[in-house]
Amino acid sequence: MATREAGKKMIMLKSPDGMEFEVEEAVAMESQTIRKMIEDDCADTAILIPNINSKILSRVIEYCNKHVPTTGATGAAASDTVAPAALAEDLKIWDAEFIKVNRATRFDLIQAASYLNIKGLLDLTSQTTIDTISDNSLEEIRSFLSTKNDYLPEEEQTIRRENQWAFQ
Amino acid sequence: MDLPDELLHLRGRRGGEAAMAAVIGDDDLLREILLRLGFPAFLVHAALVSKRWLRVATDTVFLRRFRDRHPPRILGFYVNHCSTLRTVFVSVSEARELRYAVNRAGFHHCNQSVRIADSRNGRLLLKSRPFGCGGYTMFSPLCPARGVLPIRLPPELLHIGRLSPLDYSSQCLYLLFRDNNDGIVLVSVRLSGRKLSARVYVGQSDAWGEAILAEGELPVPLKFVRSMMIVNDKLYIVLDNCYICGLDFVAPRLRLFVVKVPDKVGADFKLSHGDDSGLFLIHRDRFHLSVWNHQMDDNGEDRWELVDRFVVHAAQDRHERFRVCAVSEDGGFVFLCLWTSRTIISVDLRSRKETTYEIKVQGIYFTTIFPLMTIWPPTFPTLNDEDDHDE
Repeated sequence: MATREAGKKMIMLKSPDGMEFEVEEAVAMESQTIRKMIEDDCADTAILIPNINSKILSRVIEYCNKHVPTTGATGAAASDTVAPAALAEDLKIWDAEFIKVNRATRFDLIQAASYLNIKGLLDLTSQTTIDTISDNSLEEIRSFLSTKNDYLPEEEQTIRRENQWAFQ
Repeated sequence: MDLPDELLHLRGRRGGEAAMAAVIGDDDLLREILLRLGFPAFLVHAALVSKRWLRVATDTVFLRRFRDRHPPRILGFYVNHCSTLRTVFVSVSEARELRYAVNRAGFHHCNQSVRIADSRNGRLLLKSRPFGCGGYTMFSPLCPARGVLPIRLPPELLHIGRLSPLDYSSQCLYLLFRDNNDGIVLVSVRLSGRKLSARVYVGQSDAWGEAILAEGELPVPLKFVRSMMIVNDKLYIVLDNCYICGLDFVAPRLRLFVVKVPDKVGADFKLSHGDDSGLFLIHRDRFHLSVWNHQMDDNGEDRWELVDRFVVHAAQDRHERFRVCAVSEDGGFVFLCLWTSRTIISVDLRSRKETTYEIKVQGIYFTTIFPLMTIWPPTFPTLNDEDDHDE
């Protein structure tokens, strides 16, 4: 990590609605998109993040802050001093709390995670979405997603017949 | 309308709908979400939502990523009982999501006079028992609607087809699944002193390519073929006296090579796939399982390396010898049979977890076990009206 305990490098992230967030460079670099900008020297001290409003951006920064590998007082990575299993368990509990948001926010977070290329956040948001719909019937899912069934009955039948193992 | 509360709640939120439509309407994001489905069966269900979802699900790169996240799973195994002439299915997986597939696996053919010749990717190659009429057939117990496909042998092999592979003889016929695609391979081998000649046909159930003829000189005179196995489109013929003859049947220049198994291994072993392209050998030494990896360089120099060795507790605790009966096609599970109690045990090679099954085996030497895995990829139809999609 580029950061040291003294004189951590800071970077400014700006949302399109004019809000500015000062974050540690290491935290911002949890986003592979921002990391690439910084490494390619395309980034000034301030980076404009298009399409992500301040409310969502602040949640994303909150996520990155929690997930960035922290440095302890001795300079050793925290994962060396705390048992990795306990650390992972703590993150899991934190993630579960973090993702308790309404669906609009969750879908906004998916878009943000994808644009900023934050694998962990994309995993968390996509997995939560799948978990909330996978117990529902096909008709419920279509209705929930406002998607029209454009299969002919015989086309649907073909898929069911060719993949009998997937059905009762 | 009978929607769960949370869905109703969502439908009322305009903002939520806009954000959702932006995500679900984007193929890349939909793909990311569908990747997180836990089982291939759920992917088939998802493909039924609409034709656009089907298109996302049939994308080759997507399917490869999905498989990496969700490798094929073991459903159970078939036991060819030699003495009772019955084939039975024993389930291994207890996953709720796989129960439809597991329920289908105990197919009604089990009670008839067929023996399983090979099993791969959820399909079986069946051979009528010596007294039964008819020859080889292919059957997918997980997709019974596909029916039983007869396999026509090339006319010049019909006379060998009547031999039972259990009669270890100087001439034999084997039918095997290919491991890199859906094809099948038919192999006829004749041994005569130090000479081995093989005739290999590659094809489908009703059409064979031209016969590939291979002849080779063995280091010592050998008498019979113990078993055959295909690993990465290479055929391995396990011979007596600890020799294996390998044949690369897709190489432009046919190449036959002979491999001697490691010194201490003896005759009781099974070959297996590794995670990558390697060839593995799994054998018993006293109460242990040993796993060897075979390496061959471009000059044809080869060597064996012992990569794992661990005790099988079920065997050690009962002080019973065992036989290695089968390895699952992904190299993940080994099936063993204890000599005295005639019990079948599976060992998960990754976790070393042992599971003991109730079933008792008669005639351990002549009983064969064929693991059954989940099918991958799903069979998705090509739809004609490709541009008629919803947004």
